[in-house]
Amino acid sequence: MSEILRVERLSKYFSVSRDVFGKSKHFTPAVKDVSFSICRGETLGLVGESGCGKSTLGRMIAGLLSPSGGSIYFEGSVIASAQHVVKAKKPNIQMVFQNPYSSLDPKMTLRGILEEPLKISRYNKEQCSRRIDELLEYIDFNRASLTKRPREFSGGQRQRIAIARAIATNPPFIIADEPVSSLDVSIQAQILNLLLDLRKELDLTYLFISHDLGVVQYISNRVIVMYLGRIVEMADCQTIYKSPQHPYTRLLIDSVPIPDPKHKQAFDLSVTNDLLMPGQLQGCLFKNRCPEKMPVCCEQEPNLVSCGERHLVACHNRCPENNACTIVEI
Amino acid sequence: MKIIKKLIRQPLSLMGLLIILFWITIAVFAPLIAPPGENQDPYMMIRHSYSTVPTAPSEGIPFGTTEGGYDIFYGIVWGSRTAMIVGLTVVTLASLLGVLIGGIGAYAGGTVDYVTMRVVDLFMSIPFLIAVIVMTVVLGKGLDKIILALVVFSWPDYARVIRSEVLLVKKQEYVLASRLMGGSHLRVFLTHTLPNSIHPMIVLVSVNFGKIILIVAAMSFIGIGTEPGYADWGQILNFARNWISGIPGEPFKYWYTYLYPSLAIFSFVLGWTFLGDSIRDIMDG
Amino acid sequence: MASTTNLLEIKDLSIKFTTESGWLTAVDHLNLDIKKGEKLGLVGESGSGKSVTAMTIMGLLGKRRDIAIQGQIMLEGEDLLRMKQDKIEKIRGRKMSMIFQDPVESLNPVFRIGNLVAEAFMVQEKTDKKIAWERAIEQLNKVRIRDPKATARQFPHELSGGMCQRVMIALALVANPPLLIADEPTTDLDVTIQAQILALLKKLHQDLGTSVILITHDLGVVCQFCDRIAVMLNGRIVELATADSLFTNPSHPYTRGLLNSIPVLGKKGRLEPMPSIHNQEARGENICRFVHRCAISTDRCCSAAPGLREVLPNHYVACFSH
Ligand SMILES: Nc1ncnc2c1ncn2[C@@H]1O[C@H](COP(=O)(O)OP(=O)(O)OP(=O)(O)O)[C@@H](O)[C@H]1O
Ligand SMILES: Nc1ncnc2c1ncn2[C@@H]1O[C@H](COP(=O)(O)OP(=O)(O)OP(=O)(O)O)[C@@H](O)[C@H]1O
Ligand SMILES: [Mg+2]
Ligand SMILES: [Mg+2]
Repeated sequence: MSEILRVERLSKYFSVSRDVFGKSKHFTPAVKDVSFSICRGETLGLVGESGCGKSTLGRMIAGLLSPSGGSIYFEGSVIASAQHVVKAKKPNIQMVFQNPYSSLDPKMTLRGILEEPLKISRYNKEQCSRRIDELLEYIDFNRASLTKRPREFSGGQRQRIAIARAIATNPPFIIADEPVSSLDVSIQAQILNLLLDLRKELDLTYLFISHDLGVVQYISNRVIVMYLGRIVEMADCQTIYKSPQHPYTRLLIDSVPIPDPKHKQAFDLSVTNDLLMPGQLQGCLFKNRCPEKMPVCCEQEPNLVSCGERHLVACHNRCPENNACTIVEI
Repeated sequence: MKIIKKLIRQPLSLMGLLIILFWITIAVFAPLIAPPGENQDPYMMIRHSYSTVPTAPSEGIPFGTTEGGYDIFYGIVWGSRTAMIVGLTVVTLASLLGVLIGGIGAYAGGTVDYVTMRVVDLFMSIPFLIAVIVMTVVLGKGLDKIILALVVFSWPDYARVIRSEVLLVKKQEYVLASRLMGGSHLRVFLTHTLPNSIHPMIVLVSVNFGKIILIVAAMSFIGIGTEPGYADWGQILNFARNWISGIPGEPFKYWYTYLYPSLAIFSFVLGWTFLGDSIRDIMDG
Repeated sequence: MASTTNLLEIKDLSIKFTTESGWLTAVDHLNLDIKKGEKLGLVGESGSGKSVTAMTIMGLLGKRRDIAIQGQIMLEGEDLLRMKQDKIEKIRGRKMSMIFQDPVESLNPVFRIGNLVAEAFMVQEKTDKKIAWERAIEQLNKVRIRDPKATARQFPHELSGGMCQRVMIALALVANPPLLIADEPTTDLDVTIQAQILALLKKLHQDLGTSVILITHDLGVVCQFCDRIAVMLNGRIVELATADSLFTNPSHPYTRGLLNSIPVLGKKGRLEPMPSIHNQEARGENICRFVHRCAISTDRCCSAAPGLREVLPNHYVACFSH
């Protein structure tokens, strides 16, 4: 499989407050030193709790945010590097957003919404109408809907429209940022199936962002688990659910309530301090919640190391001190 | 369309609409209602005499004349045109300017936004009425000068309102999606950002319309408005200044000199205010 | 643990809203009992009337002209719907409490956490300020907030969502009410925090014997948390059973559809979602609420509304196919 996208040591710092002279005083990394690559036709799932930097990472890759450091390569050429976004010649990367109510312009008709990407990519009138017919077929709409406006569609229908708009100009790469999080389960399943079908039919590559492990497992080949802006574990979908290595991944998997009464889960009553104080940013960021904390965890940040075939983890416990395992350089 | 239906259903806004409609009709059919003399600038009031005292309504002069023999009826009818023209031009130009400056500033963000907002602050810190009066005094009499002064000092209002709206809209995901498709900033601004942030401008425009007319009238009344003889409600009131208290024993002798122009100004402003307030109420839900 | 006496009995409850296009039946002839010390789950898709039911029990919808409420809600033998507003206000907090989806929004941002809880003690128990503050810290300890003394001095926005939800629970349980309604208490929280909150609710339920109505759309959550589950669809209960029975023998096609729509961790295989239809369509009186989306519907489903029938011991289903 050939690589389509590569991200190298990508970081993003948002300035939190400004002093009287307009200078930023304090930086928190929303994404820090993230590296990975995606192969053509693959779906990479990105999970992590709210605020861990999933959307920020997605938006940097899409070119909507400029990285603070690191670089992004698409099909071998740089599309973004520190403080700089290269203007794309073709809309190769498209996004599907979480909120189907704010991702469609309320003033436009369905036709206008679907036409927009085509017109920008200079399709002529006939090509436009042919492509719109194709798109309607993909998302199972009839032509009568073309004159309707977004408020006349339900949440699931809007998300379909957003998907049709994203694939309109045949981009090879789609970033889906929590595309099903605000939908009912039955509609969620329809959208997931639509995404799967489109992937097969159009040979798409997805970066699929979600906080729902079940959903990510359903659609992804490979999974990245993020915690506070860092990658803590990355492996094939099966591997990560069968043998999670990082304590956070394990906690995540154990916390998902399973709709099966035979599988009684005893949730942990212990309370964890989920907010990190500014003074605690040294060392492993998971140390406050980690059941296997060691002294070294407070001092040194663990590197992402290999712990199996195509399996990376950033935890001191998984990396014996003799450095037998290799630090992975991408 | 829905909004018009709602406007008609409320008594206050219906009244506002009717008043405005009435004045629009008058303005449109002015040449028929009060035909101007031949070879005469229609915007200059017909003069029946050079008498220094007003004359009461009589045959052919339904509202009487002011001092200087100007026909009040003619002035009221053609004055409605003046009011419409001034209001429309000022509101259009000022809102265009405001939308462009405020909208682009907010959309671009960063330094551009900072600079435009400081300019807006600067303008807003000068008291509006005084600024307009000073500027017209400096420029001299004439409708065009009043319009210029009003535009120059009323666009910041629009700029501020559109800015806050654009700041909200530009974060919406449909705007981001359009950028992702490769849409240029100009395209995104014109097709998504502006149409979705223009709503509050409608309220501002209709409220300001009445306000503008009131100010023009006030300026003409104190004698720094239009040229003498121009068909303008404020000016007719200005001519009535010496006659408002009547003569000893007959305080209302010259009632026609001030009643008609005041009624015209009052109803016109009221109409726009009713309409503006109702639109605001409807849009606020 | 759950006893056999009913704490709350909802009889034939109907709630209608006036909308621009006429009456909208949000809840339709709903019958439901909650036993003392029971954990009841209320699941269903968005718009199925879960929140409206909860708000009506709590008397939060008030007496308004555009809302028509019929039926009975008996709490310990008293009909809440026929009760005066000021009496309901007294009962609220003492006999029943509610927690909501967005804990940060539900807490008054200008008060310190400690003051919020102490205030509740002062109102409920008429204690003085100092004792109330001490009770507040005790209460925060009970919901396992770490270092309650320090937390009591913080403001709601300084706490994480999970911590705020703990404070909400602390507030709701100030007077040990026998009934706690939790409307999607963990929907906005991360799974790890959700697990903590559910564990806490379970522990408090064990210690205090509170009956809990847990409203959610997450079948996993009700399965792990509840003793009995009611599945709601467009204002009606279509299936009512113990958790074990419901998940081993899901009998209503809607319940099966829901179960087939969730991607479960560790299971592969394509999801088979049921078709979706705008909720409003099947709201008529004499029609099954699921008919337009049902794979096994017959003519009968369009002409009559199926009632709940016991198909297995303590397992009720509203479907003609049984
Ligand atoms: N424009 C911004 N300015 C300042 N901080 C930001 C900005 N955008 C995001 N952040 C911060 O960066 C961090 C990561 O945010 P991000 O939206 O990427 O998280 P996320 O993983 O997508 O969360 P969620 O699941 O809630 O969508 C958060 O702490 C957030 O507060
Ligand atoms: N104040 C109101 N006025 C009119 N209709 C209302 C009102 N409140 C709720 N409804 C309607 O009643 C129905 C049930 O709403 P409810 O909030 O109970 O759903 P829910 O099951 O809690 O859904 P969700 O999972 O989205 O919270 C919906 O169709 C809703 O539109
Ligand atoms: Mg996000
Ligand atoms: Mg609800």
